Amino acid sequence: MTVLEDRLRSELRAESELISPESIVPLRLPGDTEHVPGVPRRRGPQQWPPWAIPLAAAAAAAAVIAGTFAAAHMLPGSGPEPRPAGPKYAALPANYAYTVQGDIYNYTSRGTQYSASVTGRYLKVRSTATGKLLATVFPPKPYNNFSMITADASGTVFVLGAMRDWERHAKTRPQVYLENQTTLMRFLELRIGPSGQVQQSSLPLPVTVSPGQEPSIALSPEGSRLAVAFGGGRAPAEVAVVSLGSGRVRRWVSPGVSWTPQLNYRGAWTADGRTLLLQEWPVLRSPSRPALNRYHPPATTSVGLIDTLAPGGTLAAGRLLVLRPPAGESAPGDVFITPTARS
Amino acid sequence: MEGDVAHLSDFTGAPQARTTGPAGLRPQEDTGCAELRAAAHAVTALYRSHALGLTRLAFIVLGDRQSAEDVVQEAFCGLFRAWDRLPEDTNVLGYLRVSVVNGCRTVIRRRKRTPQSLAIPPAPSAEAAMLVGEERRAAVAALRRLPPRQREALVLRYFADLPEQETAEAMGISRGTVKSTTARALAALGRMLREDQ
Repeated sequence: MTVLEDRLRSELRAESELISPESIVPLRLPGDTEHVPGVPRRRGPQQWPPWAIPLAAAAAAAAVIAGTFAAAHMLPGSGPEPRPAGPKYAALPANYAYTVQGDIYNYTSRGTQYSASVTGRYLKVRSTATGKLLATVFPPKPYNNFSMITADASGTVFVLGAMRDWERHAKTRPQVYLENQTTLMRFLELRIGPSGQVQQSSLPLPVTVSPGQEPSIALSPEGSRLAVAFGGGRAPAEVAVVSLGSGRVRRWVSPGVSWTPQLNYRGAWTADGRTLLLQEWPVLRSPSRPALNRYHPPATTSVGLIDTLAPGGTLAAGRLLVLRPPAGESAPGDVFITPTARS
Repeated sequence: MEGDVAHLSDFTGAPQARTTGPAGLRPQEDTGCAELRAAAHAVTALYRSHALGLTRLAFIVLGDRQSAEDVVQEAFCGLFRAWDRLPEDTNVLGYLRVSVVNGCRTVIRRRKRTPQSLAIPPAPSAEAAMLVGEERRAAVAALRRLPPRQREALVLRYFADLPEQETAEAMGISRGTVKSTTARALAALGRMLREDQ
């Protein structure tokens, strides 16, 4: 045994110990949808498919009501509701997708080592039943990050939003930051067949958005319409619902509002694909320091409900709910709507 | 674990507990639920015993934890699907090792096809840097710069502690090729370490 062999052996051992026994994820065999007994179930992106991301609306329905926001306290007249009779959201989606994080830039400058993480650089799609990897999807050049992802209730149609994200240079080179914020986003559509074949195509939309407009997207439960929300602050706040087949678009616009309409991709649509829920997020775009010092986040959360079949073209025409937190608690951060639209 | 030999019969118990469907029939298509459960139970038991070692092996080859976990999961799922078709005297651990090595090759091939801007080699995490000193990582870092086949040979020989014959079986090459590949890899590794100093 040479010195090199000895050294290699000991380094390999040390390196391998970065994988600890307790970090081993449970085995998921084809057709196995249940927890493997005796194997600890762990949370976190590396150990368990992030069920929040895959647009599993079923999870949304449960999570919502349960109560992160104690909606029952805040919505007048609401109380325990009977279980829905079987909306589309009641079934698990066939597939799920998650962004792969963790690529880290490490670089050294003048003796100091820096690092910056870039999240969501690419994306994987897997079968819910078997865990089988169906596709690995990369953003088209010159984009390098998927910042938005949404899917239909069945988990067979996915829409992904790609952006430029050169975070490494953003702090030191304002021009790069500006380009990141103003380069128009591109959208991709994934359609997954019954046997797992994935069809990927570019999805040109009649509305253009850039990351600086703080856009958000939500695909309707049946996968035929995409809601895109963006703007606000100094620009008009806008929600557009695009029919993916025909390209027809319907817009709701409110100029001069101080908030950004935000769609929660996990629970923005009701199961019938009619009502859309959006949250009004207060924005301070490019604020000065004095403005930041004066800023106080609101004590309530405002939520707009849009009936997408009703006439009207402004966001103000929809029904507005103001959610007040129970005494002693802070304002709700994320808001979902149940499939039945009752809470 | 890496040097162990596990035979299929070790996990199936009595012969009648073995799934007995016709060759080529996948377990999930078998009508016998009990047989399917037995196969699942056996594969799960194997996973409990060997997932750690195989994940570590894949992690060292790939340098990326997520991909290593994916490769190992795929290997066990493949074993489950093939369970019916494997002969009784199959060395299942050897079978899994081959699957993991092949899975790693697929990942490496896929990385090569990745656009240059995205094909950033996985960097060691902060945790890694803390746990293993810079000096101690030099050989591992150099190993990851070796061609995939040389890297595999060194990992199987010096991490998994496999004899030449089992290394040859895992890599799908002859014993003589293992010897020459290992020798070339060690020489290249030594050269890189000297250059890095």
